[in-house]
Amino acid sequence: MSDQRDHLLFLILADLRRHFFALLLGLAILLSAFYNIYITHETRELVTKKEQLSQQKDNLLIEKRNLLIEEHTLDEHSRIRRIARMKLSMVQPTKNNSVLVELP
Amino acid sequence: MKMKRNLAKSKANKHTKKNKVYATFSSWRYLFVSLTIALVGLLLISRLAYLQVIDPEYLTNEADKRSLRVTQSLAHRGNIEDRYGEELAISVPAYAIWVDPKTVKAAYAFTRDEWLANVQVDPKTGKEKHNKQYFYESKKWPALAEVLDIDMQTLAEVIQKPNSRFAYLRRQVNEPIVDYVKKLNLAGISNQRESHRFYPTGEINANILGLTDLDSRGIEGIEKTYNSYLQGKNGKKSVRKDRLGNVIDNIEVLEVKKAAGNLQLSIDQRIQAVAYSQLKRAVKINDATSGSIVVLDVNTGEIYAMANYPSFNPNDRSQYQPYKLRNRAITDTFEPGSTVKPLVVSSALIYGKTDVDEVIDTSPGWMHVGGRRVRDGHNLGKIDLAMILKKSSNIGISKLALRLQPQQLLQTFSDFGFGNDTGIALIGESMGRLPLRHRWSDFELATMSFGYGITTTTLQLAKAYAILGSGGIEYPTSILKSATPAIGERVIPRNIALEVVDMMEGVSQRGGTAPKAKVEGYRIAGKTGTSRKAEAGGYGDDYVSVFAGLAPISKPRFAIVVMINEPQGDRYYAGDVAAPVFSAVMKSALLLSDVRPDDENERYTLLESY
Repeated sequence: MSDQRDHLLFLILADLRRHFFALLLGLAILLSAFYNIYITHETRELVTKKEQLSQQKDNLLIEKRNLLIEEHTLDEHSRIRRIARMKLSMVQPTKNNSVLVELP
Repeated sequence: MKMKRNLAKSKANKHTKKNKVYATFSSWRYLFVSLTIALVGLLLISRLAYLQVIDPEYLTNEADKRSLRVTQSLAHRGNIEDRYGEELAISVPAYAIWVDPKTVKAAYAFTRDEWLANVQVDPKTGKEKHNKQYFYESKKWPALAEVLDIDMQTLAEVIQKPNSRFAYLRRQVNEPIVDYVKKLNLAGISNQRESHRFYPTGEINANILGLTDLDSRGIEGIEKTYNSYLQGKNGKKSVRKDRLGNVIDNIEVLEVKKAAGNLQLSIDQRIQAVAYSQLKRAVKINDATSGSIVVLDVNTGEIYAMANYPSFNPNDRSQYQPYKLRNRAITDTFEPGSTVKPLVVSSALIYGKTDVDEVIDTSPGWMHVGGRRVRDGHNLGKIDLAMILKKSSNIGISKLALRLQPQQLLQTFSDFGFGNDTGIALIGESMGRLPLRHRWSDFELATMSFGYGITTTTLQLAKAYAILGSGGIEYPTSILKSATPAIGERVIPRNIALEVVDMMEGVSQRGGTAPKAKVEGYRIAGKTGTSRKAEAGGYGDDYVSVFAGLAPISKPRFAIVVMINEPQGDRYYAGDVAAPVFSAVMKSALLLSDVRPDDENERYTLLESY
């Protein structure tokens, strides 16, 4: 009797073949679902990275501002004048030791 | 036993009835199992449907509570720069340390009784455990008080205030201190980001830039005038964060961040630095109470330098005093004295009451006008217009003024910008006083011609001289660097303005009132002014020394006015007090701006290109 009855595995395979299109659709759904998960994960990682980078940028800007302050405190003109005069004994050139160059 | 029997039985069955599988099938049992499973499935599905369809908000809310956050991005206040992009004011992030007293009170006891009252005895071990720490026993609080520079007493008072949930402990704290406070890890102490305004040039620009308050709002000077432009707007957006605090999704922008604009001034910081240091020196040497200086570009009306003394360091608020902050060059008025004489000469020329070559007899050195006396220092005899300016003759200029109608002279003063705003558009600007009335006595007219009875600011006077220098064209003065060339308006005929500029050359030459105003290599035009200060009941013993001038004469570029208020000592004349400042600043301004020397008498080694 068991010989007459189809084997279960063959039955299933036959069924699957008969509804091949549905099977394909099912697989596609599954795939797209997984892909969705994957893409969401990727997106989040990218967003996090972007956020970190903009934070880094902010920090660099802040550092730049602090460095600017330091620079301008050091290159303040009256300070340069004072150092030039006192430490380096420099003087403003007079007419005797300056040359007038005319540019066209 | 029963099981064993059953087993035996089934074995037997297998042998005997091999194909009859469903012999023991009981329908009620099958029904029961399938119903139960179906019910469980149905229950699950209905719960799912309930959560997903009927009441989805609840779980959505719960999820949002755990992951949805609003983040704020701080827009820093814009920088203020000079005309070459050098920063004069910069904002850097700072922190405010604040306390939530309720949280502190929950963790610390302030009295011994309270401390003892909060003892919990562990029922198992019988050990005593204090729920609260005794506030004054902790070593962390004194450490906090010390690093924030607060009294321990005040700190305790702030925290013990009833019903309080928020109090600033210290603002504008820098990063190392915040890190230290974070490491102390005290209950109820938090920090908050804010902005700190820093002025690299310190006291040099304090008067014109002004100040901001702790919340980064301008409260004085340029900071206030252009506050909305400099301020920008903080941005807010809602984001989703994960367990570690990383942003994983940007949901929406709640408030668009508006980046603050940078403001570029017309100030040339190099000239400004020289102007301030020279002015400060002059004020100190002459023991004066205050002083102002303005450097104007004759051809655009831009302010290249504007300095005042006394000033203060805006980075150190402890020295702050309102009188030091005043931008005296635009707020304080004074009687300009003899510096208006060139303007009177212009007026006489405009209305045809004299001509350039006229010689006026000023002897015997004094005269009566309306029953009062007008005097010169000594008898100057017959002199021409240029000599009147060179020697600053009161009689000569009075004679010219008396030929004019009072309204005509006032009209000319008004054309030169007296009694009107200069167009600088900064807060606190004063317009000076140009009295408009119909009846003038001759004496009043005469005194007005040498600068009494009217008042101006330093900036107004500089503007008047700039009009002379530009050949009679008035440009609105501006402290902002403009990309488009300024559009001027002619107020004085060109030839008259240029003639008057030429006449002023004598002042700095030998025999003039201000030889100390000389600038090597350049021809300069200028005029001194020393006026007595009016006080209640008449004129007192204090003076205002003013020097106003232009250079180079052949093609004027800068107008500079120096005003020294109340110089003490023997030398109070403008030629000794204000002229040296003019000379030093003008020299720097001309050299730094690459203006060609025009004095033919002074020889330079010249490399000419063909």
